[in-house]
Amino acid sequence: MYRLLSGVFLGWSLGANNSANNFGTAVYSQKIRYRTAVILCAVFVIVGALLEGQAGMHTLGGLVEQTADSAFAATLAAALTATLMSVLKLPVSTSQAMVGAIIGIGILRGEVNFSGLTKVVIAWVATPVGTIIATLILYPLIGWFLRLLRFNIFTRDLVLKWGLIIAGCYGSYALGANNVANVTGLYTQTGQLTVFQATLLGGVSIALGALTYSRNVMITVGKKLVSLDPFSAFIAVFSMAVIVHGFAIIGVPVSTSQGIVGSVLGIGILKGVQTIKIRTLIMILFGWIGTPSIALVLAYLMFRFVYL
Amino acid sequence: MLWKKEKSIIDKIKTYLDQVDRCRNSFRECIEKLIFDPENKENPAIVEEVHRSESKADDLRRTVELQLYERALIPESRGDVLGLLETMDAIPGLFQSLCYQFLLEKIVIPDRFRERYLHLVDLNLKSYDLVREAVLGLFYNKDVKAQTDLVDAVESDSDHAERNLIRDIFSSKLDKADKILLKEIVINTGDISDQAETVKDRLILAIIKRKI
Repeated sequence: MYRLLSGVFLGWSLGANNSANNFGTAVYSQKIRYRTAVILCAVFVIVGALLEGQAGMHTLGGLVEQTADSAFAATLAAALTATLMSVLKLPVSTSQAMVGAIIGIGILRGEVNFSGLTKVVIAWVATPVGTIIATLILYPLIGWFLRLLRFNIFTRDLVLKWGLIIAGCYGSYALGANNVANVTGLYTQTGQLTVFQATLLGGVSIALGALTYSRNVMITVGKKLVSLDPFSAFIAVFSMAVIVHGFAIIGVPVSTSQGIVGSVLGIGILKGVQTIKIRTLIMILFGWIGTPSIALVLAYLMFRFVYL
Repeated sequence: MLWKKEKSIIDKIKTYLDQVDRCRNSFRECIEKLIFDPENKENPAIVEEVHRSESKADDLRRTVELQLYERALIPESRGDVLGLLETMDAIPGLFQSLCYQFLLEKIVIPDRFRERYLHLVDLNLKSYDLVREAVLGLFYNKDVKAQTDLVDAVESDSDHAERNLIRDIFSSKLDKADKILLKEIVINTGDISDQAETVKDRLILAIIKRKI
């Protein structure tokens, strides 16, 4: 039973870090109170995990055969990597940490499903690219619709406020649906949990992270995003939610943080301004290579010296 | 229910702008009397009427501000609307101070300048009328480009009329002190369209910020 704790730890860390992408702007611009935002986030994460979280579990489970010990080691290595990255103030992608850890175990046992891995890696690159494209399509489309409705300044505010809240809820739903596989996916493969139990435990762990420890990240992310006008911020969150949800449906866990960077980049392309620093792009590149590598090494060492 | 408080604020802003309009009408009436009948004993009472109108507009603006702080709008939009109303509120202040200036400094516009000065007043009131309509348009989903473009043109006409009037005042045989007093009155009158232009600039910024 203690082996499930590493999943709960990973879920908590994921919730604490990633709920900010969904509600940071709305909270920072005072459209919604922090408490209300995290409660909505928690509820929608759990609903997303329960309704659509199963697909990703099969993908992660298909990468390497797992035992109860290897599942524990991989999840713990991913959680430690995520925590380490947080401490070092580097962007955290639990999806990439988890995949790195699974591959670490796989290398040790000489069994890695490379076709499954290719699908996952393509999805990582496709996430920011997808959110850029989604932003380029959704911004003019929804903008045209809003212009057609000709709201006055007050109504426009109200519409954008609700738009940001709805996008935040949808983003949380997508986060739960997409990322729950990272948290408890491996336990379904080992038979420690049923799919329903895994989605419930994973969803609740992510929700707990959002409820208990997301305030600071939310303020930081919100501050960064709020430099966009409220409409652009709404489109950024909404585009990210659409793409992350899309990947949840096809069953590939991806990073919501990298998704939101893509959206903001898309806004920059549309407006002809630089919205993202080169450093952020380098960090994404590091996320694709560095995060899974650290998790891989940690999982490898942990499994090699503790269990073999 | 969702739109109720927004509608209530818009109604209050409309009430405030209507009050500024009443102040504008009192001012126009008052100035005409001060120009053409400067010795009339009823003039102080008429100036007081402008003052009362200005105070009432001030009170209404404060009510709108309080409601904005208490109930509606995200801070960014709140700042824009408050800034717009405060800039707008300087205009009735100018109406009032101009009337007091006439009354307290016992300004008498010489016959030959009266019509031209009244024309200057009307030009400045026109710029106010245009910017008032534009501000209202922001709250009633109207395209305000035509009005904002005209504010610039009218302000430029006012500047032109102002300069000509000052030049002719100083070319006249009036006493130096009278010339300086008249120049001040002319400049202070021109401040109305300058202020209308400032309101227009804020309005345009608020619109551009929200452009999708």
